[in-house]
Amino acid sequence: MSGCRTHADLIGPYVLKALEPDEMHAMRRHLQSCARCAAEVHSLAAVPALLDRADADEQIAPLSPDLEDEVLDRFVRERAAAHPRRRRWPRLAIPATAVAALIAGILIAVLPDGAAPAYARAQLWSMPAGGGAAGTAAAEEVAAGTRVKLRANHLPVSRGSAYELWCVRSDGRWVNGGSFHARSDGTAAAELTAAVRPGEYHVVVITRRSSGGVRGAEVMRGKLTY
Amino acid sequence: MASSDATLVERLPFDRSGDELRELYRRYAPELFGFATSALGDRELAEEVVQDVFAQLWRHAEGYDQRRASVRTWLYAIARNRIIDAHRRAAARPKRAEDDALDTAAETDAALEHAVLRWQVTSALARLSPAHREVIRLAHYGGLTMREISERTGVPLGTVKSRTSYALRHLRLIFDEMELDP
Repeated sequence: MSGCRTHADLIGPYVLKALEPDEMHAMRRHLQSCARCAAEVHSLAAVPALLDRADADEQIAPLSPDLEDEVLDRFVRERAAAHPRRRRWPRLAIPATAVAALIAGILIAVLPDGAAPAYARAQLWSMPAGGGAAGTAAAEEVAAGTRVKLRANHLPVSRGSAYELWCVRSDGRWVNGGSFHARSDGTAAAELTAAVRPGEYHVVVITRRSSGGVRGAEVMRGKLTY
Repeated sequence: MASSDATLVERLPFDRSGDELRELYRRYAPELFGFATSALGDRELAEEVVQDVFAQLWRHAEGYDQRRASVRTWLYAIARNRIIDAHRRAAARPKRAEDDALDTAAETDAALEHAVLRWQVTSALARLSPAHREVIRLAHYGGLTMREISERTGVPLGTVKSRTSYALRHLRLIFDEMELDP
């Protein structure tokens, strides 16, 4: 419904009472004989009352682009916790298990920390706030994104032991991988999941835990080698 | 073709990549954030509310029944509850002078309803084209007639009239989509 051919353009101004007095009067008379325009006026009649509920110049506050990453990171972490990867080895027959153990032994000998094959690794170096901390990060692809296996030592613990892991994407955005605590001796071992895919990021950063929406100071950082 | 809101929510329990959640976030986060900011007057708290809304969304997606409420209505209901929680937490702290306006639960409730409506109308206006928004602003909020708007903007009178009618019809459609009634 959009009014009749001759008066359709006057319906909006009429509903908003923005016609000249003589035009308002003429439109009122027209509505008495034009069911089509009358129905259109009726369908728009509630709009001015709704407009009164808002201020004309109220602005929509822009949403921080980081919030999307935070929401998705939280989703990925919760999903990872709720659906841990199934271990399939108990289903294997004993000879197969023995073979697998042999292969695992070989892998442990070849791969650092006995980790599953990682698609990228980073040596983490201390930043000014790191007080000589050092560590390694190994990135492994999982369904939810990337699982980062982190090992660190000499982390400063005098001002709190909570840290956060970040994957810095190629477009400059920081994707949070979650938080972890260092032990009292400054060492830490954690497995954290971030919503990033191989190739999307090249830098891993460890910061103090964020507070009040402000990211903590950088403690370590390293470039990934794919 | 873009998936409907309800379809995206139905897929959420099986969403391993986050794609469905990301799409829902992009559709609704800006207006939910605006609503929360408008109701709470605090950007940081509003961001927490938005995070919590989407956390509730994915945690309870399996129980969503589109016959009971649209996704938009559901999200706003969650946001509303989170904002009430935020108000309660604020009320538990020592009072500031500006908190006096929200003394009772009923007043909080009414203020929230008002904030929801105000925000929805604001976001509906933001969805209009700049030209349509301008005629609505000048005619409804500025109290100008079509002729005055034409003189002020230099746009032909006939164009101002038809633009106003189109703008109003578009707004009506947006309000319908938002399930808004005066």
